[in-house]
Amino acid sequence: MSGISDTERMITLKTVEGTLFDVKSSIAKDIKTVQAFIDDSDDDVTSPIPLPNVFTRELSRILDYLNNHHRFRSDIEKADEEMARYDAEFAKSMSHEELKALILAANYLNVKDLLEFLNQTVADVIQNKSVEFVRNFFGIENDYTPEEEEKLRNENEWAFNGVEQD
Amino acid sequence: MERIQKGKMDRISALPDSLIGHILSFLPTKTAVSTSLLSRRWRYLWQHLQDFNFQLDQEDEDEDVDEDEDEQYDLSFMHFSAFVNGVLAQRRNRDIRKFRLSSSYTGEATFHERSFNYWSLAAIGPQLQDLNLSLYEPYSKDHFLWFPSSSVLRGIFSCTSLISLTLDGLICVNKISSVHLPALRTMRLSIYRVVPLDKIFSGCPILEDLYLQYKEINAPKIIFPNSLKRLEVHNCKSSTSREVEVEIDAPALEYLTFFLYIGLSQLTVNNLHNVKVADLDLREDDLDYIHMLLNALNRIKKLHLRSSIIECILGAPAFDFPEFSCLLHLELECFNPTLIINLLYKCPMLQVFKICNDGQIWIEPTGNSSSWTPPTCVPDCLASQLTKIEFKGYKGSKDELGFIAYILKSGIVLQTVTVNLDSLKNEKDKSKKKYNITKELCAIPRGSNMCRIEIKDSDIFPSG
Repeated sequence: MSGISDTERMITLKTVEGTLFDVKSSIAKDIKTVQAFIDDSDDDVTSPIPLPNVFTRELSRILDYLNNHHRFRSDIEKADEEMARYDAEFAKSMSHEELKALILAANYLNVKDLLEFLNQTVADVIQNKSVEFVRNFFGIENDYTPEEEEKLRNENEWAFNGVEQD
Repeated sequence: MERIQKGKMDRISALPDSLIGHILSFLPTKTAVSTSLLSRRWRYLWQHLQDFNFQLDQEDEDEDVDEDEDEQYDLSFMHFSAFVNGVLAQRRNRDIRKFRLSSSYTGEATFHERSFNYWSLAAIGPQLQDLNLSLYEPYSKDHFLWFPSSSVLRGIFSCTSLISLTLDGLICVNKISSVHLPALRTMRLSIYRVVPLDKIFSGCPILEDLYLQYKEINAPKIIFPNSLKRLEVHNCKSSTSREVEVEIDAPALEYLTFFLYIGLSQLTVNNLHNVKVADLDLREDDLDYIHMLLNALNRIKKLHLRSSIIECILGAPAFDFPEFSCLLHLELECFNPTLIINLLYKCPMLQVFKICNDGQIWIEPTGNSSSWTPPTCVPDCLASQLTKIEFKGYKGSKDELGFIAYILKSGIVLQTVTVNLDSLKNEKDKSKKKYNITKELCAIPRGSNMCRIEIKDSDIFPSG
């Protein structure tokens, strides 16, 4: 967490578990919820900013993502390639549960680019999958009766043409 | 009665609808709509979509075609069209933000034309940011071209919220009364014909990213917008024998891909000092323009020169390259040791050098005696910067071997030299040839003790 030699101002974030993270203010700018907190305190932030909805595991992942993206952006030549490779690794490294937890955290912290990326990742996972797979992925209980589902399919045949039956 | 399990709410269902809506917006609309089958809560969520992504799925129809499949194909367009119309009718949010539609033409001209016009008009509105219309012809039987109706063109080209516009395929933009796209940053025109290019460009004051590819060019003059950061021009052919005047003046331009095979009456380039990456090809008779373009790009970091440009330069022995003082990465689509060494003298900082000799350029055979003599003065980059060399299309000629030997000897900071033998794939005795080549290459003395030689050969390591 330390070892940063330049003089850029650091912001300290505190997770649910009480873990402290030091973050460069240029990175904090991408975390809109944190930036709003800083703006509201007229830039006078001395104590750690509490994040009552964010767990250590998710915050460390999010900071990892932001730090890497900042680094890529500074090198125009390799930026696109390396960023794509990093993003693919990042998406692959998560289980479905971790992915969902991270979406909640990114949503709370309002990290726009990351949220886009994570939601795109979910879309990629559930695309071309059966209704049952998607229910499992999201942990959805099917509360339609078989008759209702049948009726829904029949009334909207135009929409479900080609969508497989369970 | 069925609500007993209410407490067993899953985590993601606890997300606000807006977030689920966001996830749905990344899906093909077909999939997004089918989520209404998941549960009661999901039933109407898709109807709030503002981002649509309609694709006529061609996967099953890719194979060879006979009459039956043709009919089947018509049928799938009917289903597709019913689906798009159904979604557009049932959505609850009237303003579309993103509209992508990719379809193919199957033989019902009027029906297609009417559908595309109708769908485009539905998409155009005060919140539209991203419009992407792609229209393909899977089996080029008829020559269908969609001429968007004048109200569609007016709508698209005066959509003030539009940030990204893609028109791709069998589309013709003939006449536009006026263009006003004050928010447009990205434009991709990969279409059959656009006539009023100058009018389009003049209505896009902040356009940053332009991709242009079309079969027919019919404008006497093209002036590219000077707000561009990225410009890609591909394969333009002139419909008439008339020559075209092209002007690029783009101080913010960083990426330039320029494949232009039309007759140029004039090429003007200005303010290209910020271009970092360029990939170039011009018709072979434009030597002066090539010279001018390369001179304008002298601050470049990564450069790829294609075969026609090189052929042209090879035809002009007195050609003088500018000094590329920042160039780190160079790729050439030919092998000519004299040209390469001349160019290396001008690239003092070069780190990576790739040769791709696919045999497109015919070089006078030199018989058995090597015509190339290594230079006495070693290029600066070889002595201090160049760490990576790749040679694709190596065939083992005397010149090639002599060149590699020279590079290996003089390249005192080299780390890897990769030689790709794939061009020998179809030769007789290829195994023996490859064995000999490998033996020859490995026996060459190296100036850098860190240098590795990699022999690439897809016969031995497929797709490696």
